[in-house]
Amino acid sequence: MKNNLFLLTKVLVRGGNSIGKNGKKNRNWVLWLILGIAFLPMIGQLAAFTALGYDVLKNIEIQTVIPAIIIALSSFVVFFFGIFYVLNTFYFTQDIESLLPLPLRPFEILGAKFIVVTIYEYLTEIVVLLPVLVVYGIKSGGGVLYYLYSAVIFLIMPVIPLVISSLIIMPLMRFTGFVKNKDRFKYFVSIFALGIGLGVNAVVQKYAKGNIDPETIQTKLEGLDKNVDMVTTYFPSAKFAALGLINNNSLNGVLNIFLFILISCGAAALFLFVGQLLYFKGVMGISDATASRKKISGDEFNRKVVHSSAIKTYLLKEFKILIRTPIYFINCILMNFIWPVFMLIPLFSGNADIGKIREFINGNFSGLFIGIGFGFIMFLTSTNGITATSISREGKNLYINRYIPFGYKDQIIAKVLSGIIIGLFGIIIMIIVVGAILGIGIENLIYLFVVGLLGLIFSSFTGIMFDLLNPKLDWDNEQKAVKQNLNLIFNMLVGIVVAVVSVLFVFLLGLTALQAFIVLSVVFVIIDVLLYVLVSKVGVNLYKKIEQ
Amino acid sequence: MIELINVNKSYNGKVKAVDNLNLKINDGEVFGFLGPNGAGKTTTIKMITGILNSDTGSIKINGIDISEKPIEAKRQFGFVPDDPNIFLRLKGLEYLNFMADLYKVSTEDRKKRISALSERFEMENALGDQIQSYSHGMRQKIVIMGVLVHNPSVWILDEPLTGLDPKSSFTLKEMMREHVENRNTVFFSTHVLEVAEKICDRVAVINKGKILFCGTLDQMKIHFKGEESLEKMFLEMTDNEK
Repeated sequence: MKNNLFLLTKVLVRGGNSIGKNGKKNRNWVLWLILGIAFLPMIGQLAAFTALGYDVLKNIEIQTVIPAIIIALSSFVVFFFGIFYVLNTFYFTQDIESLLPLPLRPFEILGAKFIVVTIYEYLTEIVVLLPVLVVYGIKSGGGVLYYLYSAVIFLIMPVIPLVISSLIIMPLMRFTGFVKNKDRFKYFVSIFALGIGLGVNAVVQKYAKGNIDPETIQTKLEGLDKNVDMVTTYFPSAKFAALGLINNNSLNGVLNIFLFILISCGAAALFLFVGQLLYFKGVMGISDATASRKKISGDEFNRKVVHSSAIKTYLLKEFKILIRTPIYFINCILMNFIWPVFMLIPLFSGNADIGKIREFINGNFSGLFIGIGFGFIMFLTSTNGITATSISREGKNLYINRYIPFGYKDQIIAKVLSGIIIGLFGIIIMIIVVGAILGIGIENLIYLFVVGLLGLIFSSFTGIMFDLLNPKLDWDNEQKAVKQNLNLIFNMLVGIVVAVVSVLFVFLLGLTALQAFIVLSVVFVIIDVLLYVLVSKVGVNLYKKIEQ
Repeated sequence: MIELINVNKSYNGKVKAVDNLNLKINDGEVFGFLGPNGAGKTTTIKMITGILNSDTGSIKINGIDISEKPIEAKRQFGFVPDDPNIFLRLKGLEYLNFMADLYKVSTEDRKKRISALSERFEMENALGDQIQSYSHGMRQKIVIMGVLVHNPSVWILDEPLTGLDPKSSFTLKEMMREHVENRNTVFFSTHVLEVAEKICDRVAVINKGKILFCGTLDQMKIHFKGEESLEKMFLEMTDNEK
């Protein structure tokens, strides 16, 4: 039994991390290193914030709330991601079909998958939990025991939130027919999660507004001690973990850590027990899509069966797959429209003085409006990953593109076009909304549209170049093609750098809107043409050389 | 017609998957490509269809070199891969239209062919559904229909009969024979020796990247001096190589 569990865990962990075969392992490490570096600023900020928070809270002697808050907060983040990890790793993955016929008991499969998900969550913890624990340890002069307890907490903390995620998902999968349709359920959960995200954002914005008064901050801080109790009640283990850390010098600390471990073990046992009962029946019979099996009527047939050009049909194929695959839809398409909404929340929640912004933009700073607008569009279009994952998304079926009589360059251009067209929708909606709310002149909006389009073309070309250089084709779960794809992150980094440089350029030179428009247009027309040449020559050669 | 001249392919510059292959498949013949697992069948088919580049040698389809004029060469053939799990999120009809567009089939022709093929393969009720809702056999059928919708003169099929029900399997074999009667070419790989015995005009046996035999079944029997079963001849041939 034990052997089965560890054997399976080993196989699953390896399967999940294989970006490429053969000699690519080393490169893999380099990529992870770059990803780590990309997260460094965030980790650094959190560490700095903790240090600052420690000093402030120490004045009123409640610095000990820090571990409690961060453990509770990390528990929530782990729980939130856990919902998706559990769905995708336990249920919506292709390895299930090969695992079910093996003589394995439900809890063995579940146990192995649980460990895999826990490992994924360690990555979350490295960003969210680790910096705070370390800084707190340094600030409070924690000894060996403090770090030992921290390590224990780091390793065990994800268990309880993940068990809660599982206990929500497993009965749903077992007892409701609705979720048996993979695609429909994924759309549902993701849009629900986005709703929560937007809601949290709106609440935070509102809260932030009410908290500006220093006196209110003081009272809030004093009330914090009680809030900690409240926060940690949702994750009871978090309280024990925090108390263990805080009292690491005394017997009380050992007891709390011991309780924390005990509760986590209990939760894991409960999970395995419930899983043993619910898992197999829930995972069996999940279908990918519903089928009507109805004959297409003569009229419909005549309407649908018509000739169109190869490039159009290929482009339509890209769109259909992007829209019909939930993971692609959410990451590549919905993101285009969600980001502008996120940006607009401050405007609607009343934090910003629209009148002032309007004055600001239509006055001397119209150039900066073009610069920032361009920067934002660069960021937006480089984040959607439509082109940066377009080769990776083909996965094991990339070979089809090689035997169809449709040239490699045309295929690449069609993929780039798919990114440009969808991005264009995002830009147009954003420009209309921003223009209407801020009352920006039509001239400036046209300038922004033109430079935005050039930025969109830029990020679409750079995206596909990254994906051509190192496509991630070896995946068994669509999520891996877009979510665990570093090409998207590289493209995003390039987008951010270009955005920042452009904004700084416009700002430092104090350009007017017209000047900013002319300079950005000229620069990016030249760069875009160069990128087109690069993609047509080098890109096509790279595409030819991809062997599976 | 398919012609392979001195074709070589090795992976990572070491493992030789195909070793100096010479093969000519004439118009008007069903040609069976036999060999044990890992013999180099799929690699050869991938090179013929342009999925892999050969290291050396030339491959021509209807006289057109696949590496010199890839698009034109690809228009000559239709290919059925061994894995039918493709374009799962397209509907059956969308997939057929997609293939017809890529191969520039006129609206009239495709209407006629899609109607006829869906009737012959009993797929009329499935064309409106996504391919991912299809069974393995139905997926196989839609891929075959995607090839036939552009009516290529050369058919290249990798293990086409796996997963088909007896009736569809019969239909496909029948269609292969009909196709070559019009001076067209069918090239397919198989493990199933009985199939090769029944419908092939000629066969080639490949093992470890080398052609061990190429000719009619009668020639093979003479080669082995007797009335041995194809299976026995096959086993003898591939065994001696070990």
